[in-house]
Amino acid sequence: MGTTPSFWLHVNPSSGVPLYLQLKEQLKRAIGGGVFRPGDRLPAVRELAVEAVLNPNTVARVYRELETDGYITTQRGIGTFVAADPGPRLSESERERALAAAGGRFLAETAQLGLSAGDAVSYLVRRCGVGAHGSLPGPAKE
Amino acid sequence: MDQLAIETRGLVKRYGEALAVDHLDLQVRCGEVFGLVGPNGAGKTTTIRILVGLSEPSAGDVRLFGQPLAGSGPALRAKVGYVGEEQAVYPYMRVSEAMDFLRAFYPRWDQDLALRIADVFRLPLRQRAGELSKGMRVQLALVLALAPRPPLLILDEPTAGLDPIARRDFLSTVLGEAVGPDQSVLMSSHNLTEVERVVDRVGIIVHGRMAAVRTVDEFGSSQKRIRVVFQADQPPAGILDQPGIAGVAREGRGYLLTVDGNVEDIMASLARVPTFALELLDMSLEDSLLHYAGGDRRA
Repeated sequence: MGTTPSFWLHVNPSSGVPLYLQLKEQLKRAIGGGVFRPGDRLPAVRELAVEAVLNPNTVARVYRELETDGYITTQRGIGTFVAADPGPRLSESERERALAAAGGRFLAETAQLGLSAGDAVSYLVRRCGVGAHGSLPGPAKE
Repeated sequence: MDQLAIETRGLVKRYGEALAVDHLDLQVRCGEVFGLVGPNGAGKTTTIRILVGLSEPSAGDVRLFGQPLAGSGPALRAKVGYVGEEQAVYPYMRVSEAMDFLRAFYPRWDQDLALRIADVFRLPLRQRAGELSKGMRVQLALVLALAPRPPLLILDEPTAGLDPIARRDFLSTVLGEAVGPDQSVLMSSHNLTEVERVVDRVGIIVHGRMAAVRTVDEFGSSQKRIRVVFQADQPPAGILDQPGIAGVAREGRGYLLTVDGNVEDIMASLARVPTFALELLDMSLEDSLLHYAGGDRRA
C-alpha cells in the first residue's frame, strides 16, 4: 500500500447492493485497474475493516471469495497478496468507458443539486488536492 | 466455543400498565457485533438499561457471560462498557480529569488506548466536559468506555446526532478497538442503514419483542424469488418475460423466478391469473423491518 490513495474505496449501504458484493466488485476493479498489481500485499482484514467501516467478517468473506476466484492468494501468517495472474488488466478503453459512466453520474447529481460544472471541478480539485503535475497525493483523511 | 456474551429469556419490563419490554429473548455471542434495530419506543433503551444494571427487569432472566446479572457484583459489571444516550460525565471535569477519575476504578484501564483514541477524535484534553459539543461528549464517552478494555461494549444509539464524518470515525474506532474474537458489541439504532455495515447480526425489535434476527449475509439484497404454480398447464403468454424477471427455473409443477426489481408489478400480474400457489421468498432485512414495524427505515 503506502501510495494507494485512501479514497479508492467507497461502500454505500443505501445502494441496495449487498455490502460484501460492493466491496468485492470494487476490489476486483482495483486489481483490474492496476491499483493493486500482481504480488502486491492487500490490507489485512482488520485494517481494511476499520478503513472501510465494515464488519471484519464481511471483509474476510470477500477475501475468501476473491481467493476462490483466483484474484488473490493468502499466505497464512504472512498476508494476502494479489495473485501472480489475477486475470486481464482493464484495457485503456474499458477504463475510459467506466470513467465516463462514473463521471456522468457525478455530473448529473451535481446538476440536480443546482450546482455548476465549475463547482464540480473545484470540488474534485479540492478533494483530491491535484497538483500542477496532475498526480494524486498520498493518503488523505476523509 | 459459542459462549453467549448476553442472554435474556422472557425479559419483561412494565411501567404501570405499559409493557416496554415484552418477553424479549436476546442472544449475543462472544465475538460478534449485534445490532438492535427498531423504531423509537420499541424497547431498545429499556432493554439496554437493564443489561447495564441501570434498571431492574419486572420478570425474566438476564445473563452476561453465562452469569446471572441479578445479584452480580462489580466483577461482572466491569466487563461491560456502556455509551448511553445521555453521557454521564461530570461537566466540571476536564477531559483528562475524567480519564484519571475513572482510571482509578478499573484495574485493566489502558491509558495509552484512551489517549490514542482521544487523539483520533481530536478531543481537547484541557476542556471541561460540560463545554464539549454533543459530538465530542459522545466521543469522550466512547473513550471512557473503551479504555478499561471491556469484553462487552454496549452502545445505545451512539451516533445519533453526529455528522457523517464523526459517525464514520466513531464506528471505525469501535471496529478497530472493540471488535475481536474475545470482544462483543451490542449496538442499538432506529436506523438500519447506520448499523448494517458494521454488524454480524441484526435483531429487529418491535413493541418490546424480537420480531426477527438476521445475519449480515441477508442484508440489503434487492433480489427476491417468487414461487408460483399456475393452474393452467402452460404459463400465460408473456407473463414470465416481464422486466425484472432475471431467471426462470422449473420447480416440480411450478416455477421459481429470480426477480431483480419491479417485484410489486410482477406479483400483481401473477396474482391476476389462476394459480395454485404464489409466494414471495427472500424478504430482505429492510423488507422485514418495514413489514414488522410499518415504518420507514430511514425515518
